[in-house]
Parts: sequence; structure tokens; C-alpha cells
Amino acid sequence: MELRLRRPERSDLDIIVDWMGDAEFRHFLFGDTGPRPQHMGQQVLGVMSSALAIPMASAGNLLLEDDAAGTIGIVMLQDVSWRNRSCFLALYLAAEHRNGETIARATDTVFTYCFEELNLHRAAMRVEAGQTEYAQACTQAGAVREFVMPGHAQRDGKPVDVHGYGVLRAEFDARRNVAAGA
Amino acid sequence: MISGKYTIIRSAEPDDAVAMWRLYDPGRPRSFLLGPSREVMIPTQDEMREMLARRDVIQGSFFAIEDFAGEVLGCCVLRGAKMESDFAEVVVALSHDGAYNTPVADEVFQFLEKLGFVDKKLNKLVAHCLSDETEYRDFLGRHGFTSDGIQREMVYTKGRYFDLESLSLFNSAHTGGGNGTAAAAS
Repeated sequence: MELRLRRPERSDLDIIVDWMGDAEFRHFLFGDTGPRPQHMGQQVLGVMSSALAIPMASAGNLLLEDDAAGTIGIVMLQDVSWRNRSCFLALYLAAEHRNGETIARATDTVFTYCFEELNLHRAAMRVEAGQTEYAQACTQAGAVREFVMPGHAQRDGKPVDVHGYGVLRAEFDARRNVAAGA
Repeated sequence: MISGKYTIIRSAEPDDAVAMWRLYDPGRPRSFLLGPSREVMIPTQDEMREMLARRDVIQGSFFAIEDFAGEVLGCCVLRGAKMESDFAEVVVALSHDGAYNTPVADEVFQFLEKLGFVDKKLNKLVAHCLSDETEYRDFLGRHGFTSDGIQREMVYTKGRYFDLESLSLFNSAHTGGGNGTAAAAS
């Protein structure tokens, strides 16, 4: 079954507060897992305020939902450029859903949203070296590894390489057509 | 202010707005025109003046490049260089492509290199160039930058897409280069 993307609601607060206890979620939001100067409430509100409701927004958060499992993660759309029709994506899945199959489904859902809802020309995801399931999911979704930035991020206080996977609209459509047997 | 052999490099001022604005020639896409979302941005002269008046934004990061006659030749920027950052983006904006193969450009780079690696103790400098900015790319390569890869069809302007290449230079790897000039603090 396909996953759905939706804007966060007030009723999602508890889920997001729970995720704050996950070091991986803090790393997803802030790039590190250390304590933040902002109050927890401010951090959570930042996640809730999905600016995607505003036309021409340049960033926003969407929750990933599965019919059976409920809310399983969140997608951050960054650097959305309506002139270039491009964006970068970041994906967080709750610990119990962080497996290869769900990562692949979520990645495909997010790229599909970029092309079929946001009508973008390209979408890209940054993946840290070692996140092999995310890298594989990008490749499965038709993305190409476009760059490797050595030591560009910090993980547990150590520099890690960041890989960039990008997919163009034409590539996405071609892959969809092949899958549909067109 | 840094007085070198070929240039004077100083903090940009609101009075530089018109000279800086002229660099934003919309006729030819150049990577230094790109804003945070990698969109081509053409500010007005008033916006330029307002930006250059914001000391919190430009202090220690946005510099005018002058010749000894006082003519502004371009600007250079160390974007995103903060104490907590490990890296910053280098931007060298000169008025024409040929200028990147001159001692002036090399002197500007040496200034930025010292600012980033010695003064700000950064680990890495990054830079970007569009697919047709061959002179700028050669300039970066001459100074030790290596390619991290190319983001395909990243920038849309002039009715078509341009690829955007990312390059980086690590503090441990920088060994100088270029045409061998040196800037001296005054």
C-alpha cells in the first residue's frame, strides 16, 4: 500500500514530542544530537509549522502516514526553488519503521510527491555515507549519485561524507512509464 | 583593509552598491549571482545598498576589491563562515571572465584562503560554478579545489537549465598555487 504525505496537525504533537527523544530525529532536524538552545516547545513548533501551505514556500515539513501503521515519519523539503523547480529532501523514519523496505517505499513516495504534486523539474536527497539503505532507496527510485562532499556533516563528533542523489522529471517519468508497461 | 601587490581588499560599504550592482549582469548567468536556493537573483541598487549597510551580515565576510586608482574590480565573499561552522563557501565575483586568469584573482584567492583557513580556522572551503563558467572553474582548480560532483539541471535561467558543479578545498590539502602573488596586511 502507498504511503501518504500530509501537513502536520495539532493532534500530531505527541508523536513529534516522542520523536524528540530519538537521537536520529534530533540529528535529522539539527544536524547533530547535542542539546539545543531553544526550548523543546519551540523546537516542536518549528516542526509543526509546515510552510508548504503558503504558495512559493521555500521549505516545509510533511508527515508520512501508512494506513496500517499510522504516522511513521516526516519529510523535510528544503531549498525549494520555484524558479529552478527543484528541491532537496530529508527523510526521517521512526525507529520501528527504519528498515530497508519502508525506507524504499517512503523515498519513492516523496519523489513522486515532488513530481506529481509539486510539479518540480528535479528533486534530490542528501545521504550520509553509511546510510546504505537510504542510498539504495534513492537508486531504486531512479536517482543518480551526483556528488560526494567529503567530511561535510558531523556524526557523533566525526566528519562523514555526504552523498547527493538527484533525479530529473524526465528520468522519473521514463521510469514510471517502464513500470506501467507503456 | 588588505593592500596587496595588485589590489586593495576592504570591507564592502553601502557606497559600493552601484559598483557591486554592475556585477549582477543579467545577460550572462554566473554562479555568484545565485541565492540560497540557487536561484539567479538580481537585486536593485537600493537592495544592494541596504544589504551592504547591514554590518551583522557583511562584517568580516563581504569585501570589495579595488585597484590602486580606487576603481571597484569586483567583490569576494566568505559565505556562511561562523565560529561553529567547519566550512564556508568562497565566492569571487570579478567583472569579466578573463579576470580569473590574472594575478588580481590569485591575490583575492590568497586573501580568502588565509581568512578561511588561518583567521577563521575552517576545515574546508567550498565553491560552486555553472557548467559554462570555464574560466572560474579553471581558477578554482588552479588553487587546489577538486570536484565533488555535478548537480544536473540545477539552475534555470535564460530559458534553459544549467548544471551546477560543487568543489571543495580542505585546509590540510591547500598548498597555494595560481600565479604566485601575495597579499600583505596593512
